[in-house]
Amino acid sequence: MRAVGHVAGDLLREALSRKWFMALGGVITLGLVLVLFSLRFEVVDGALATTRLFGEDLGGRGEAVELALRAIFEGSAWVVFYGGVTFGIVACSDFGPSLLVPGRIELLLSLPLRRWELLVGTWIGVLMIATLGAVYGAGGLTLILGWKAGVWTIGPVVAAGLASLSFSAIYAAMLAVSLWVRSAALSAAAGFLLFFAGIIAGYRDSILPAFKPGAGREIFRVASGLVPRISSLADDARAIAGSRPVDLQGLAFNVGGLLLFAAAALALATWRFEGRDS
Amino acid sequence: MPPSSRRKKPRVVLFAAAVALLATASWLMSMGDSSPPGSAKRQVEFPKSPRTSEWQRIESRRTYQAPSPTQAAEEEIIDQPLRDPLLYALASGPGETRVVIEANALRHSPLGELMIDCLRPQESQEFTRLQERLGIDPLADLDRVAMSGSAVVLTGNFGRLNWEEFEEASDSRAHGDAGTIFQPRSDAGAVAAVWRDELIIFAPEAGAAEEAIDRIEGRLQAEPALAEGESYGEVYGRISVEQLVALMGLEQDELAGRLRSAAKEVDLHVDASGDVAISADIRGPRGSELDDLGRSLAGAISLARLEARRQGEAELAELLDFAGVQRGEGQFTLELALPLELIRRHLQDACGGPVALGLEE
Repeated sequence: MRAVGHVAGDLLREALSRKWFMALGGVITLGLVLVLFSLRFEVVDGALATTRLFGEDLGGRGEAVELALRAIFEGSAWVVFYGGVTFGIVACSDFGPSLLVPGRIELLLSLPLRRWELLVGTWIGVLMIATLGAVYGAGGLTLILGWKAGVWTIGPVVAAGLASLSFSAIYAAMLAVSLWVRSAALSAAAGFLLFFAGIIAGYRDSILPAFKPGAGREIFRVASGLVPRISSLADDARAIAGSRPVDLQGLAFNVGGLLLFAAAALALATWRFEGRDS
Repeated sequence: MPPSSRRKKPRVVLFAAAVALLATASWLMSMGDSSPPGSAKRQVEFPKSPRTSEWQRIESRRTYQAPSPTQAAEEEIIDQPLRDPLLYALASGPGETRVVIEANALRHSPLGELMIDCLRPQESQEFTRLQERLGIDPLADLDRVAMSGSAVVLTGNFGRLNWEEFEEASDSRAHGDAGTIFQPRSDAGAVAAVWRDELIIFAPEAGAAEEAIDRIEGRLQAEPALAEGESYGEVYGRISVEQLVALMGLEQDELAGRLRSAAKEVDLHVDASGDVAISADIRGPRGSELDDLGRSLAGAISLARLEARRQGEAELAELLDFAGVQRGEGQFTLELALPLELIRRHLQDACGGPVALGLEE
C-alpha cells in the first residue's frame, strides 16, 4: 500500500505544480473572499433581519436565519457538486494518458511497482485533489456563514464529500478508457458521457414510465441501472446542505453502488493494463 | 506452466471481478432508487376486443328469436337469428348514451369480492331484509344493469321476484307476446315493465317501455343499441360527449370545448377481471382536431406524472404510470387503470382495516 501512497503523492505534487490547479485554488479563494465581503447580514434574535449580496436586498426578513440561508447553502452545494465534477473531468482528463506516455510508462514499470498499484495510486491521487478542492470551497463557505450569521452546519462539507465520491467513479471510468485510447480528449468525453448518463440515471424512475412497454424500455432500464445515480447524489448533497431530510438508506445504497462501480472500473482498467506490453 | 498462461489466469480473475463488481454495484444502486424497478412495470391488459370467455357469454345470451316482421311463411321465421334481448331493449338513437354493467361478472370479479367483503354486519342485515322483501337475491339473480337515455333495464332471473308491491300501486296490462306493463296509479314513479321474467324495464313513461318490448319482439325495426362484438368487459357502452363532459364536471372547462368540437362519441370498456382497466375510444369527424386533442391529453398525462413524482405524490404517480393515450386514424384511445392493490388499500381505509375486509395477507 505504501507504493500506492507514493504514486498518489507524486500525482498530487504534479498537480500542484500545474498552473491551472493553482488557478482553481485561486478561483475558490476569490469566490470565498467575494462572499465574505459582499454578503451582509443583520441577525436579530436568531432571525434574519436583512441579507444583502453585492448591495442587493435578498429578502427573507423576519425568517429564522437557518431557513433564510437555506437557499444559499443549497445553491452552493449544487455549484460545488456539478461545478466540481465538471471541472474535475476537464482538469484531470490528461493524468491517465500522460501516465502512459512512451518513456514515462517504461520508467514507472521499471520501478518496484505493480501495475494495479500504479492505477490505484493515480486514482487516489486524483480523488485527493478533487476532495481538497471541494472541501476547501465548501469548508470556507461554512466558516464564512458560520462567522457572519452564526449558523454552523457541516452540510456543505458533506455535500462536497458526496461530489468527490461521485467524481471518483467517473474518474475510474476515465482512467479505464485511457488504457484503451491514450487521449485526454476521449478520456474527458467518456467522463462527460458517464456524468450525463448518471444525471439521467438518477431520474430513471420518473423517466421509465414515459417509455412504452417493450424492448426500448427494457434497454433503458438495464442500461440506466448500470450507471451511478449522479443526480440522486446531487439532490441528496443539496438536501444535506440545506438541512432537509434525506433518505439515508437510499443514500447508503447509492454511495455503496458508486464505490463498487469505481472498483469495477479500476478492475477493468487493471485487466487491460495487465494485458498490455507496456 | 508457460509464463503467458500464468499471466492469463489473474487477468481472467480480474475481468470476472470487474463484471461481478459492476453487477453488484447495479443491484445496490437499484436498491437505492425511489421505487424498485419493476414494481410499477406490471402490465395491465386493457380491453380491446372480446376474449374467448366473453364470446361464449355473448353466444349464451342469444336466447330469443323474434317473429318475422312480415308474419310470412314459417321458413322465414326460422331464418330470423337468435338475439340478445337486452341489446334491442336499449334505445339506439344517434348521440344516445347506452351503458351496460355486467353486475354478476362484476360481483364475482376481484373488485366485487373486495366490495362484498367491505359490507359491515349492519349493512349485511339490511341487504338480507331487502332480499326477503324482493324475493330474489340481487347478488345471484341480477345479471346486467343497463342504462339508455332515461330508461334503466335489468336482466337476470326474476321468476321469484315479489311483484305484490308493484301490483298494489300500479295497473298492469299485457304488452306484446311476453311483456307486462305496470303503470303507476299516481303520477309519481316510473313505469315498470317485465318481459319473460328475465328483463325488467324502468322508464319515465309507458311509451318508452312499450317501445323497448316492441324492439325486442321485432315489431319495431331497430338496430341493436350495441353490436355483440362491442359487449366485452364488465362495463361497456357508448357515451355521448355531452354526457361525458357532464360526468367529468368539465362544463366550463376549455377541455370541454375542445372535446365538443373534435369528438362525437366515446366507446367505453372497463375490464375488472384483474386490475381495473378502463379504455375509452374517442371518435369524431374532425381527424386533425382529434389528433391534437389526443396529443394534448398524452402530454398532460406525462406532465402530471412527472409533477406527481416531483411532488412526492406516489399514489397519483402510480396511477398515472398506467395512464396513456393510443392514437389511431380518426380516433384515439385513452387508457387508465386502477391497480387492484391500490383499490384494496383505499377500501381498507374506508371499511375499517384489513380485519373487517377479511383481506389479511
